[in-house]
Amino acid sequence: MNAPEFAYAVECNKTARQTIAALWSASLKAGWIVLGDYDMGGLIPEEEAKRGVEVKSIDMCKPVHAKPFIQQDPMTALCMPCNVLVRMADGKTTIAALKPGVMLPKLFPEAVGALGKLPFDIDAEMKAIIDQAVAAPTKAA
Amino acid sequence: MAIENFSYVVETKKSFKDALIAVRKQAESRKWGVLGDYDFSEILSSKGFPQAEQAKSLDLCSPSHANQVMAAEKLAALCMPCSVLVFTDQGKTKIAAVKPGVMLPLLFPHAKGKLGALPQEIDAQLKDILDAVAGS
Repeated sequence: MNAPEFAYAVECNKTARQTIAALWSASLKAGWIVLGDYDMGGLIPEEEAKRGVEVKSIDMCKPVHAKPFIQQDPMTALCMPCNVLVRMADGKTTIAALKPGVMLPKLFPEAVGALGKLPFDIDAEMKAIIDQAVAAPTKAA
Repeated sequence: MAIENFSYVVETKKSFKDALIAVRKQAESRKWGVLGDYDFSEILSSKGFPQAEQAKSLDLCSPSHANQVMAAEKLAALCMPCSVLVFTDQGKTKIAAVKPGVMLPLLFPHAKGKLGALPQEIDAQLKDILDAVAGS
């Protein structure tokens, strides 16, 4: 998966399940909370399912960051929580996430404009969580 | 550059709780699944940020639509499931949803051909759900 301007994507040397576990752990260490995760395997095309492709997502949130957005405009909650996608296909695992620092100013220019560099701080924190998950030693399943 | 008109919002005379129940009923009656929900007012309050207003999102999914969208563009799963937000705003209950028909072609222009009119069809179905909640 090539990352467009609005997303961050990296490869990971772990299975999808191990990657979700590593993201979960890295999020908590960074002071984020994990709200839940989805196994999207039932939604992928049949041909991919036969190849053993796995797609999972994990929803994470940092309330201290979410609060000022919701205060500025409750509609910003449409973009919450932050969603990180994990896809394992043909022996490769990729982690991808939307960049709030790119998306939110385009969707809510007035509300987000008042929050200064916070959206970019969130980008940086999410990137650090994902990079930490990639670098973390793999735990036995 | 701002993205205009990316969401659909309706106001309802229902209470916050009744609006949530109605979203579930209307979605399920149209064969959309409700995968989960997040109560942002509870989540923020539990972390020391009490909220004067209420906000809760419901994660909706139509598997047949999701399957086609994921076949057209793998990263489109970043925009799934469809989130419907129910929130209170100075005594009023509002319901909002992002329009996939605006966002998907904008984020994944190379997939427009494969997606065809599907994103607009998803918009229409989400709008139908929100309108039914507001009107029922």
